[in-house]
Amino acid sequence: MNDVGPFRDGILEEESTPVEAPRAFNARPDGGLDPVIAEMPVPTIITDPNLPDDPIVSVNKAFLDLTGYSADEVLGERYDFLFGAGADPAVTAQVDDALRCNRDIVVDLQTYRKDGTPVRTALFVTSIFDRQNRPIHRLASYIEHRGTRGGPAEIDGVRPGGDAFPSLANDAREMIEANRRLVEANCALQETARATERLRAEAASARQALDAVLSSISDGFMTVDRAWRFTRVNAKAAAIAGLEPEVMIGRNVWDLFPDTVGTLLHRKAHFAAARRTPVEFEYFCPRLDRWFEYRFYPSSEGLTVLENDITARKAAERRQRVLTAELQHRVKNNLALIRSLSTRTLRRARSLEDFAAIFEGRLHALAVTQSLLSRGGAEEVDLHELLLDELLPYDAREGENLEIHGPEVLLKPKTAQLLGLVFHELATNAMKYGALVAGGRIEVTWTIEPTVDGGRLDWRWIEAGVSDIDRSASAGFGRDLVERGVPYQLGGASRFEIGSDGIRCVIQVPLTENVGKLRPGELAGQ
Amino acid sequence: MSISELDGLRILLVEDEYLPAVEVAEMLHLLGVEVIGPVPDLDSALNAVSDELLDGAILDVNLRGEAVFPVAERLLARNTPFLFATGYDEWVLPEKFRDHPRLTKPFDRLSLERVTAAALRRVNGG
Repeated sequence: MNDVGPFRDGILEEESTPVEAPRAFNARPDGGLDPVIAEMPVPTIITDPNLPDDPIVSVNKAFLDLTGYSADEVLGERYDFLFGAGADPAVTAQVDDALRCNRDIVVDLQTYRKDGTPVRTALFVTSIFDRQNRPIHRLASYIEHRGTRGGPAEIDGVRPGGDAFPSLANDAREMIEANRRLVEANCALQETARATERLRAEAASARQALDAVLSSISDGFMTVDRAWRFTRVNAKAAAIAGLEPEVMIGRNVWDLFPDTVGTLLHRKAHFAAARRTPVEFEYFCPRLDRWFEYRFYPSSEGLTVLENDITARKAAERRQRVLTAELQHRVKNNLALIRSLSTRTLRRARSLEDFAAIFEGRLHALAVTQSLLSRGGAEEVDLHELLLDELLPYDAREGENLEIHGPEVLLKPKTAQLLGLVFHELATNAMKYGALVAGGRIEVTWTIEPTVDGGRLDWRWIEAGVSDIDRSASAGFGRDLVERGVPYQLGGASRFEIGSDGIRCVIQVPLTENVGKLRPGELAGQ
Repeated sequence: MSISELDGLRILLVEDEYLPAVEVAEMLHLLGVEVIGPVPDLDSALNAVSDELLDGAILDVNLRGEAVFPVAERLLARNTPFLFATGYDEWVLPEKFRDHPRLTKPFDRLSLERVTAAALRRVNGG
């Protein structure tokens, strides 16, 4: 049918109102459109204008039924392969022009089936656009004019050239609209599917990134769901448990670690989950013999657990506690010593002024020992050094009125404390009544005498050049310390004599581990 | 001064430092106590527990580097009341002695009397 009547001039140009196609709609060839056209009763093809020659990428059954071609024969062809050689060039040019401009178009055309039978059809073409208004698909529907096969005929009983065409044009508009709505709906579906997939991919990549971060941190990290099943376990947490993460995931915490049921860990976990509040606590695991610090954070999924091995820290804290306790102990013992010293001094004092002077001197003697002990955290005091420091306030000058000879001996704190007091008392006496006045001198010597149990310190204080010593006034406390205190506290023996030319004091104490020792490498008796 | 609750009792004093030992012994004398000791080391303390009739004992915890606990064990075995006199906090004591009466150094005569009397009552009373 060559006479297309008023349709020749009646090309219906839709306003070029591009479909707001969702942006992700750009994959091709697009199998996603197949479902859109598959069930349509109207013979329809989809082409892809972004491929060379705008080939057909999708075709429905109605089209194959109409034309007699198989899908394989249709796919890859141009939309106009049905037009045949006799197609009106003016019409095909109009179609091409409309497509170039991405306008929708309806034309009346003679097409041919595979067996060569001519079919009069109305062709509707509409374009699908992406966000940037670029055509990504064209949808073309061919509607057969009934009774046209084999020659000119009427369409639905209406004569060609009559008023059937306006009706057809209306049908075509509706068809295009229906197509467009279908495509839009499908696009929306596609978009949803793509968005879901994208989210899934993002979640997967986020999860991968999270896993990488979690495996790199030094703390154990776990998540459990509301049924107390492990949902995430990092390498550290698995290593602490002595298991592989895969073994733990999906398992119930309390089934996997039944020894923790009923423990603080169990209670805290349930508390955090039930009250939806974070908890933080320290827990000793008897099974692993280690201390852990746990942090539980409730989440919408269940609980997030951070696990930190603090065994080393706890050990350090314990050491610190022991050291502090030891220090406390020493301080309290020192206070007890000072207390007894003051009681003792007070009882013998003739006046408050007398007490003040004597007590201050004795307190100073203790302070001297204490500062030698605290210097550099020493646990021992050098005998020679202790002697010199205790004699420092007096007019004793080594090499002039004072001679000191002896090997290097290190004294334990309590030994040093007692001997420091002894030295102080001896020096005070010497200052008041003896060798440190009137040109006297003092010789202090000591040796280490070998014994079966580690040696004995023989220490001697010998004053000389003293005359007219006031025997009656001297040495009550010092004498008591030497004669009673040294044997009581240090063991061994001692002697305190007031001779005609000064005081002679001999102290002999076993150098047990608790008293003191010869400095390593030092020769005894030098 | 009223007659103290400790008057006439025989109490062992174990203390390894001379001056505090002398002072506490004097305090106990003033309370009418017959002081056994003082003794400065583990051996003499153990001997005293074996050899003497004791109403009680006051134990310094650290004796020349040795812990006094063997003495405490022997006193427990004999059902002889005792208390610790120490500068250590209670947690340093072994578990079984943690609830035992304890005098914290330094202490005065009043605390000495009160804690010692309470310790002696504890065993004698039940």
